[in-house]
Amino acid sequence: MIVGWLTAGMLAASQDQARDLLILSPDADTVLSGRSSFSADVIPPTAPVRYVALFVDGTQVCRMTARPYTCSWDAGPEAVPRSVRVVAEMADGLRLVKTLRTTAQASGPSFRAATDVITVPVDVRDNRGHAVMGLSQTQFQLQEDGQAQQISTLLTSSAALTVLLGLDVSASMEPVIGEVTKGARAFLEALRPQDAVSIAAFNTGFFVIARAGSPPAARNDALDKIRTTGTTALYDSMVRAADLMKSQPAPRVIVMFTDGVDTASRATLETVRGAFQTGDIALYLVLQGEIGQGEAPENLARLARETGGVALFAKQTKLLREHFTTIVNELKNRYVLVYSPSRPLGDGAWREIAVEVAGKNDYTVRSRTGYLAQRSTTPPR
Amino acid sequence: MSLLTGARAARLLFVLASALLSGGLAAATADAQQLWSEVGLPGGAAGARRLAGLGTPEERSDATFLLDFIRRSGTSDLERTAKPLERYLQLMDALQSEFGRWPDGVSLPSATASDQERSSIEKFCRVVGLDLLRQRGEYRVEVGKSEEAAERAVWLKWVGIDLPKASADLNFGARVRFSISEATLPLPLPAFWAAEVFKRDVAPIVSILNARSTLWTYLGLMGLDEDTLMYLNSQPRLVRKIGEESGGAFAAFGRSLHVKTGAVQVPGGPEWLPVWEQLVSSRANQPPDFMLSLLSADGGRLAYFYDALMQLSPLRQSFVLGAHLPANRRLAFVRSVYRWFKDVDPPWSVATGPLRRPDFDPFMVLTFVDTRADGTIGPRWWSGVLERIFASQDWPSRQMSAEPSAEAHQTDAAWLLDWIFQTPAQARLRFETLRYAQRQFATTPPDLGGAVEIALRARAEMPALALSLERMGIADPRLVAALATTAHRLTAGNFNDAGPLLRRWQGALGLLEQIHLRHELPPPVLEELLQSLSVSIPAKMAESNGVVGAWVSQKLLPAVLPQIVPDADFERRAFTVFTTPRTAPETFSWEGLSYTNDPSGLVARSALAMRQSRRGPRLQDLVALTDAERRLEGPVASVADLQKIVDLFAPIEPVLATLPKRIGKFPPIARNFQDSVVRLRQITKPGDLKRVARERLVMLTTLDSVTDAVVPSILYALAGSPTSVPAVLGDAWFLHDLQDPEFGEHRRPWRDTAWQIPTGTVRQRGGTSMVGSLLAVDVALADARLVRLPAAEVPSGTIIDPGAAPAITRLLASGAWRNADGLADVVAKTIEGRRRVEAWRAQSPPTPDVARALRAALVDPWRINLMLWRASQGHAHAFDELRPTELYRLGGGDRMPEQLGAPEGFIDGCLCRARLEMPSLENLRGRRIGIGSAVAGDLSLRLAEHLTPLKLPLTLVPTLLPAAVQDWLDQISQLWLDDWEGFALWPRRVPMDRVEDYLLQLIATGAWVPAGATR
Repeated sequence: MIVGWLTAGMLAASQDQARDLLILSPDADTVLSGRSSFSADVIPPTAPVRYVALFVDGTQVCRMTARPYTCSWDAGPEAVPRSVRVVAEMADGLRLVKTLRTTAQASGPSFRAATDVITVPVDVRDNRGHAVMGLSQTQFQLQEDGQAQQISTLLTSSAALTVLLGLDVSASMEPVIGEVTKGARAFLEALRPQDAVSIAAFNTGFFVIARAGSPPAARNDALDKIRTTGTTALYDSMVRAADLMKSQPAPRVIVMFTDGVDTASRATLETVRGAFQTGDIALYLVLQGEIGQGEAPENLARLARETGGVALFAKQTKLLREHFTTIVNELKNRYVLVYSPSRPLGDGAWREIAVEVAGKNDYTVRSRTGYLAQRSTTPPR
Repeated sequence: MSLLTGARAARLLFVLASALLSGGLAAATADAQQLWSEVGLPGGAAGARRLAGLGTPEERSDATFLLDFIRRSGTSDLERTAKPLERYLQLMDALQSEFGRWPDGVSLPSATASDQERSSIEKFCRVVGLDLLRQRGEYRVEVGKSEEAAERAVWLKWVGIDLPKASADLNFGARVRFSISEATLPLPLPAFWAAEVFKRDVAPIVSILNARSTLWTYLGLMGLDEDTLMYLNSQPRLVRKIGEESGGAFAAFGRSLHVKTGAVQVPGGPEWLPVWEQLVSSRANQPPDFMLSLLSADGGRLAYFYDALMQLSPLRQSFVLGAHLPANRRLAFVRSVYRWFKDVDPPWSVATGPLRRPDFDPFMVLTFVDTRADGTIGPRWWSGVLERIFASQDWPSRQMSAEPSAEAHQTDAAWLLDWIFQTPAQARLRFETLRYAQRQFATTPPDLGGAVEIALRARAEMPALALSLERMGIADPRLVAALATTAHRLTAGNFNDAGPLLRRWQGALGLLEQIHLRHELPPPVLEELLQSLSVSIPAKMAESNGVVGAWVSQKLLPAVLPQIVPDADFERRAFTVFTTPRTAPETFSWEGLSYTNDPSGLVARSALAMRQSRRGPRLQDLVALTDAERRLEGPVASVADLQKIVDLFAPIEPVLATLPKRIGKFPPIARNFQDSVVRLRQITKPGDLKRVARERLVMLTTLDSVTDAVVPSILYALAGSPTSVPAVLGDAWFLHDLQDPEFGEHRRPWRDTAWQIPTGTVRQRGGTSMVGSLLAVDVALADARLVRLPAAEVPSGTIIDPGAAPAITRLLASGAWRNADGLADVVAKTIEGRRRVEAWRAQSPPTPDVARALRAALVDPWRINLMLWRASQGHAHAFDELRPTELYRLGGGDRMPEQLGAPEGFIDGCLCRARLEMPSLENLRGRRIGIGSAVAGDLSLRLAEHLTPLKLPLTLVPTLLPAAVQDWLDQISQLWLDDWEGFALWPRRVPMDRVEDYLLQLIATGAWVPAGATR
């Protein structure tokens, strides 16, 4: 017998046929779409179970450690066949696996209505620099390449945001990482419950360490576990962050913190620009230390402004927390205008956006300055 | 306090006493039991490893601690590396003794305690690092405030003693039990150490650490076989002398000393005894003299040669020793071979840096070169060809004109090393060129010698060209020579004139290469395309000509695509064809569901997304422009015909606005094109049709520019796919340079870079880009295919030799496995190897058969001894460190099939996973170039093993590699540069549930298409 070389699960599987895993819901005839429920059970009920994990199309969607083994998952609007796999790991290491494939919608594939809409974050300040709130949709005037556009929706500060917080964890961050995580914690605490926040860490790799919907304790835990290593691929990470966000509900915001000049990216600033513009994402950057000088930061700052965000420079560590607070305040006190461009998207050209508040020349209006008309964007919720 | 009162020391003395009682120490007939003992590592391995920067016990077995320390400390200053460790171990030894005196624990003395009681507790506190204080008649303790006490508290924490907490507990009145773990390390020839090295009052381990010579002696003894240890067991003075006089050579090469029945066994066997005795100047049946002479001769270089020979297979030994020669010529022959072992890398001193090796040396050549039974490496005429290539840079003026040299030499070992090492700076390149010849032209007749010469010149001067053609399966030297001659012509001028055309031509060839890698063109089609490309260059290099664009549109695409309809969807359809293999994808079941393994859809989607992430001309624009331009070439018969042609140019105009600035700005392509179209439209009289010719140059320039914007971009999209975020690579093609992008004193001449396999370089303005040819781009971008499965935290910083990491990621450039021939047999033999090892577990102590089997499986002697020692101690995991490939050999396997072989690139340059006969990894220690390659095959084999019980086809292994290699890279922890154990850990341990994660990822990304679904 070759005990020790085979996994415990493999051995246990051959030894114990009495226990079984059942997928109670869905079944093979189910059409999965929208919010869907899953249910599984292990028999006999007395069998000690370490966890039950559910995978859909190869991605783990939930993991349960106690009965009832039920959870729900958003299958999205498309009613396509899905591979559902449930794994139960028993206390003694035995792994039980069941898999099934759901069916497609009987009436054929469904199509999601694509709406070419552009979201424009707008920050309005009075002559004392205070945020101006309470403006109505009709008070805003929006032009695209000099042509007036019809604003379809005004999202006020109460609208839920989709936020990704990206933290540079390259080795050079070691001296300031403590301050950065403190600032990040304050930032996360200041966001509203309705905001969907995920956290990513990056160096040459890009790691989502807390997904949207994670409880605050899990987010704090993720921040606690951050360790610094490697070099910085800032541009690549920005593209990855934008790629992750582009399918999330608008308005979308990425807040990135870095201290380093990019030494490892394959992407260029133009790639980053394309990713943010086509993803309809506002970029906020906190640039720490010496990076606040030279050509690269200037370009990054311009990029952030184009998206309706801002780049803040923190030569001293003590400014970090202040900058995080500035960003969260701006996010809480901004408007988001939504419009469908009068010209169709798709030519890939740069289109200038200008926003004004009618009759308020003493207001300072800062907004997204344009976009690349490359493809459809995701409608806001 | 006497340090010899430590429990560990006591146990050692017990072992030695037993040996003495049995008369073993002095007797030459000492039995095997007395050859090995143990030496204690006070405090256990965790703390010592932490202090010495040697990883964790989870990564490494306790027993290797001292070997790891010696290998890592290498030639560094012992005062700096060993002294803190000595201090730590002395403390742990003292604590161990002290704790042993308080088996029931310690509590603070009462106010009425006797002086003796108070004094012994005071001593206890002093050793531990606590200050015993008396306040208001009561005793209490505090953690000491001195620097030494602080250090002690930290060290105690490492071994599980929380001193502040213990202090609080004591002050609370509790009785506190202190204990400290210990580890044991193998100790060969305990009698020698007891008699010659260990000192009273010093922990034995500290005595070994005390001097470089004792460390070298330990390493050397750990590599000896049982017979030799048995012999040396009766010669403690000899061992001491060896350590003092030639410790370095003994540490590195002692493993090749084999003494049996009173004589040293020499490489090659008894037939070669006279040769070796002459070289060593000593008789083999006088082992002490022979060993001392061998190890000291030429500063250890003779031992280096002797050890190298001992590592070679019998066939290779015969090759090196001149077995094809009459006996009276052999000594001179061997001396001429040995000369290069003596002379290579002159600054290298075996005495002070025995664990270092020259980066490239005769041993590497003799290990990896193909040898023939007649004592040569190839036909005689090769020597003339190879010598000419490196003697002159003049290419034959006409193709196929070179003749085999009449003064060719026998290509034996002496010639081989002479030819390779006579110009040290070229040694590696010469070896790689020879290996290329061996792979490609081993059976080519001499009448094709001229073509072979050009092909080999291409390998030496334009490696990317030769190696890419090799990878495409082109072995006809005439076709290689035809392409090489064109490439050479393209590279002849200055960069400003020749560079643009060279880039364009390379791009076209690179695109064909990337398509062929995925779509597998039939050989006649491929060869015809290459032939036509070899003549697709204009007479005047610097002029716009449209030749390459025309080749792509009119030769390449028609040969690959079923039909050419350059509409808006054309590029997407083209990608679908480019990425679809000609063989049908495999269908299989997993957990009751059926799937087809068809990653081509994933590749096509990724490639298309990469292209679409940026604006620019598309493939259909290139085809349409070529078509319009060729019609203009004419002759144009009438004004009406001309206007129809001009109408074909119209859709191109907006596309030109999207050309990248670098391509479209100087000259201003879009504006010139627009003006030209206007001028063509103004031709309304037949007599003016002659003006059409003038406009052609503008159209050709436009065609070249569109070619420059389309072809490399598509080849990059194919080469970098599938990748998780295609947009990251959206601009990478544009940054690719044939020459160093930045200026500076280290900028290489462009001809030195333009035909090299591309590599990444950090740009002055940030980020990285590729420098080198546009061939083999998929190899350079192999890491773009890595897949990181979701992880809840950032992986701990991996420590990896940057020179070795690419050897691992190159696994991802190998492409799909067309068949699983022989793989099931490999897995079966590996499982058989595991069964065999399992049977050994039941034996204690292990039988001599175990050592023999491990040696035959090319396990190095140090690890064999470690495993046997651990097994004899009843350690359940004694053999866990065997690598999958070693288990395969233990199960009766020999060479790996090509699919499971190592990526050869870092050994002989080949872009293949060929069937190189891999040596023991110990033979690559000190040589950074081979380690990554040599370990790489382990991972594929481990994955294949896991797929077997799942009843999944073994051809799926490459599809698991992107995620498995990423895991591997995240796990590697090399403790020093050539620490191959740090590499080998993960492939050995990949668990089944992780493999399931990899499989699920294939479903998630769509690489596995469920039955009934479309890709």
